Amino acid sequence: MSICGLRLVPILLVCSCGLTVTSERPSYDELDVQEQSAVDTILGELTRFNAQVQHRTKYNIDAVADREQIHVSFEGLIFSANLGDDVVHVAVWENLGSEKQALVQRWFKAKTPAQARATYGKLFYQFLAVVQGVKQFMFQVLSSAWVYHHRSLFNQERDSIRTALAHYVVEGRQKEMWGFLKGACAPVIAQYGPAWRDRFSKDYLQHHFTEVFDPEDPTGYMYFVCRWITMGTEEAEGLNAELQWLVDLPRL
Amino acid sequence: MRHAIPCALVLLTAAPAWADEPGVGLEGVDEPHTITGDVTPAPVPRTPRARLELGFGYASLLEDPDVAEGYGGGLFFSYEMWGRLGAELTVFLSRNLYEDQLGTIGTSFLAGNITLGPTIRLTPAGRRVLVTADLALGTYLIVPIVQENIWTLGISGGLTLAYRFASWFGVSIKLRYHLFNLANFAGPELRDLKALMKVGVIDRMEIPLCMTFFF
Repeated sequence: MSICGLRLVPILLVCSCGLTVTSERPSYDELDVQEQSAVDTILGELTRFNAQVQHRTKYNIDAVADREQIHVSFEGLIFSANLGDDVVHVAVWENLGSEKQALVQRWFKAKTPAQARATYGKLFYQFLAVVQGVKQFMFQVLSSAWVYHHRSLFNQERDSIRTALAHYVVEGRQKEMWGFLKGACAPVIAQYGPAWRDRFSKDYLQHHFTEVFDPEDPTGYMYFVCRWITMGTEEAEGLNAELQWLVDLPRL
Repeated sequence: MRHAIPCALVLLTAAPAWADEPGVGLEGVDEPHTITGDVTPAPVPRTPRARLELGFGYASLLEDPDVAEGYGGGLFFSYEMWGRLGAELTVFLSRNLYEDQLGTIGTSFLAGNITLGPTIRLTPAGRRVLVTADLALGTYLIVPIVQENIWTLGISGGLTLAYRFASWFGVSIKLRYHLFNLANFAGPELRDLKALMKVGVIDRMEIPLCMTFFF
């Protein structure tokens, strides 16, 4: 019996090889042309925001203003996030697949896939990329642990979006970006307001995070983003004030 | 810490040999013999048919450099139905912290299982030391942070070494190896937190130490 038992050992060890719950991200050089182009656009936005941060504070977001820390190579998900591990994730249009591209087209009531792609690209590769950069600033200043323990997800997103809006003002691109966002969000709020209006709250997001952010169908998140953008355009202060607000959070 | 795994494997898989050593029969005040004369053979001490174990201990995803070794706990109920053959129901939950960059988030990989399968007792009846081997099939829960909960199919196999201090109570140590995420029952396909790619089969080894109740 002991011999039979000992025979289990190599079997167990062999079986365990290569079974992991994490994978390595491909490097920039391993990406395809569309992915590299998306990374270049995102990096450009993050670099400009990093310059503003460095100009106005003693901090920086160098950790993600790096093409190897911009992750776009995943497929089949609509996703834009900075989880606090010094990586910005942004889904590339070409990797969404036809079903999710059609969903995006419905969000924006785009007449053609090309129109939907243009809207998606500007929203995800530019505006939401800066939003992830603001989150990086938040994580850098306050630490990931502090942010996760003391800040609601609702407030993290709300403040990041408001700060990103303020960034485009000091960049001299307010008209361009704010106008674009207003146009992109109008059909989202009109279509999904009846279903999501009453759910737009800190409490709902806290308890239904995976439903709202579901990367298979983040329609709820898109509605939340548009509501935060609406709030942000009404409440935004200058970039200095927004950045200082984040720095001062532990003392408030 | 990783060096401890092969050692534990060797120790536990070699256990059946020790269990067959003579002179470890379960005798004593809690199960007295009923010898009344020279001609009456001593009855074989009763081996309890049911066993409930409450365990807590080491749990590891063996090969993942981004996931630390962790811990888990659970409940095991086994019942011998036909001689040495029985069945065991297991409910177990494990937690492993992420390491390196992912570790800064402060989140963890949570997985649990509800499994049922056959067991076989490898030691003779009436011993204080019991060794059983088991196989199981069941549903495995994975709790990702950016996806809905996922229920998948999984299998496990392992050994249990138990020692009875009394007829009703003892301790045991289990060595279990699991393969799960073999197929989806419910929820989305699991994506990894680092590269957001689809995750294939996952393995886990656990070595819980248990309080064991026999009845």
